Amino acid sequence: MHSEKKYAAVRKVQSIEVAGRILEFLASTPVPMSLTEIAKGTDISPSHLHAYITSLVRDALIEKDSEAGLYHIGPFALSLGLTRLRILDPISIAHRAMGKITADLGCTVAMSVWGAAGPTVIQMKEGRDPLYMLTRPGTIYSVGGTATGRVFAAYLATEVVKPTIDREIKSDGTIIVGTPIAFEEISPLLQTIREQGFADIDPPPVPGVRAIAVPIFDQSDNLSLVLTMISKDVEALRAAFIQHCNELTFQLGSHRGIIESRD
Amino acid sequence: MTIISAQRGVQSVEIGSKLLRILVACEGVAPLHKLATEAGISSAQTHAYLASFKSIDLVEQDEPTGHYRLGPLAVRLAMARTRSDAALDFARSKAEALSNTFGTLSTVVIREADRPTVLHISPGTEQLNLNMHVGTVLSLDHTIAGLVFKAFTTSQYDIDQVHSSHGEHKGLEINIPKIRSDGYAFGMDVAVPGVGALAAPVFDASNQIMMVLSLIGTREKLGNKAKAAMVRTLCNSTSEIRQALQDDAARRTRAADRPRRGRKAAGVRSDA
Repeated sequence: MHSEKKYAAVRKVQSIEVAGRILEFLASTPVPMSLTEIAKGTDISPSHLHAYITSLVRDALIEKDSEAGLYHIGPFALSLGLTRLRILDPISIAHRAMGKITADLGCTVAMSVWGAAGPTVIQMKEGRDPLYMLTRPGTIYSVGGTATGRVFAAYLATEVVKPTIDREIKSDGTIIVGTPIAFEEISPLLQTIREQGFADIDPPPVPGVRAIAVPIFDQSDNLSLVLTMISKDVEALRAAFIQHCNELTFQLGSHRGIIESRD
Repeated sequence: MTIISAQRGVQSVEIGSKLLRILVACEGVAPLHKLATEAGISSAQTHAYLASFKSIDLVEQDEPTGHYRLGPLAVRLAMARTRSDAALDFARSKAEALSNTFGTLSTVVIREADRPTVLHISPGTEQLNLNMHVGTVLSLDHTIAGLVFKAFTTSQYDIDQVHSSHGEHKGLEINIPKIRSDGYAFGMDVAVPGVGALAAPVFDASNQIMMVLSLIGTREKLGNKAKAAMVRTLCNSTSEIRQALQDDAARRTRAADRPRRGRKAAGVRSDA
């Protein structure tokens, strides 16, 4: 950073990193923990830990669960998270991630959200190689007939997805990309999509141009948007693309991103 | 009971927390020199703290401006808090249940830094086009949830505000005394046209309003027949949260009295 060149030999405050381990540990467990359990889970000696807990409790980052000596995350954590969420713009963060993906993998990436007409492309970043495809901002994808649409189908409620599919099938099909496919036909595929964490489709809407669509989750583990890699060679890039998507989910504050990217 | 203040802590952790509080007061983003000045420590020292916060993802740096901003760990900690605090966890599960039952968008709104703030949203099945998300601050006067906070807040400052609101809502047929006597608030087209909301207060053990639970939907969704059932279920839900909090407080007192040996999972989990 320009003005901070003078701090180039970056000093760190080690105790902050230790405190971070304690907070990460408590944030990852569903029940309150004792000092012994925290010491074991963070590899910090109980005597050191005691001093940390004292300060973290004083600063309301940790709270005592009861007089029984158990601890959990404290109320100041809520202020921290809500403050970030207030200024957070997931679309901007995803936009930056798309830039990284294109720079790293050279492929085209599209970002889609669920709108009143269903899966809607809102941004696109083109890759190195020219591709002719049917995707641009404003494109509406068929739910059953595209990789992107199928990811939405896999994670949104049936009561939300089915009416959209019904409308697609009734319409003359001129405004959407991909063939409308009935919900009953795609529902057997949805569990697999959830298990593998992505969707693809064969044959693709544009011959020779393949797509892999990956869900991006928000802090409450709701589906926030879908990123779709479009390329002639998706197989070779798939794992790297999914890794980038997990990092984006992580950025939005979901703990899913950590679980998946740590595997 | 141990006297925490007499015990030795880790001073640098406390300086770090001070920097975080300043960052929160700056709405979550600030340049290095501002943080250093407000904290009363050198820029070099502040930079060392921020570098450490960066390495644990509690802070991130904005690429174009170089300003420091709260990072993803802040959100994960907040979400952990919503699971670890009994009241927030019960409220979230009730909102989910209401959403599943009625298909409405349901929210939990808390008071954060004295402002009604959306903590949780269960989206429901309608396409509402609302620009509300977790962290959104709601107006006390122009949202149903805000009006519920107004109606049931009893601090002197807020009572004055409540009295001053009578004139503002004539056209919308929402009045504070009615909300108080009904125990809930309902309105259509309040914040935005075509959307209505039903909201009820959740009180803590000292009868202070701590949260509001809301159902939000279109006119069709919140029509008269459905509305009656929603009012009943919503008010039952808020009572159940209050009961669950009392049970939880009792559990903790019992846990404190019991000599500790091994331990089984002690978290109180609600069933949706």
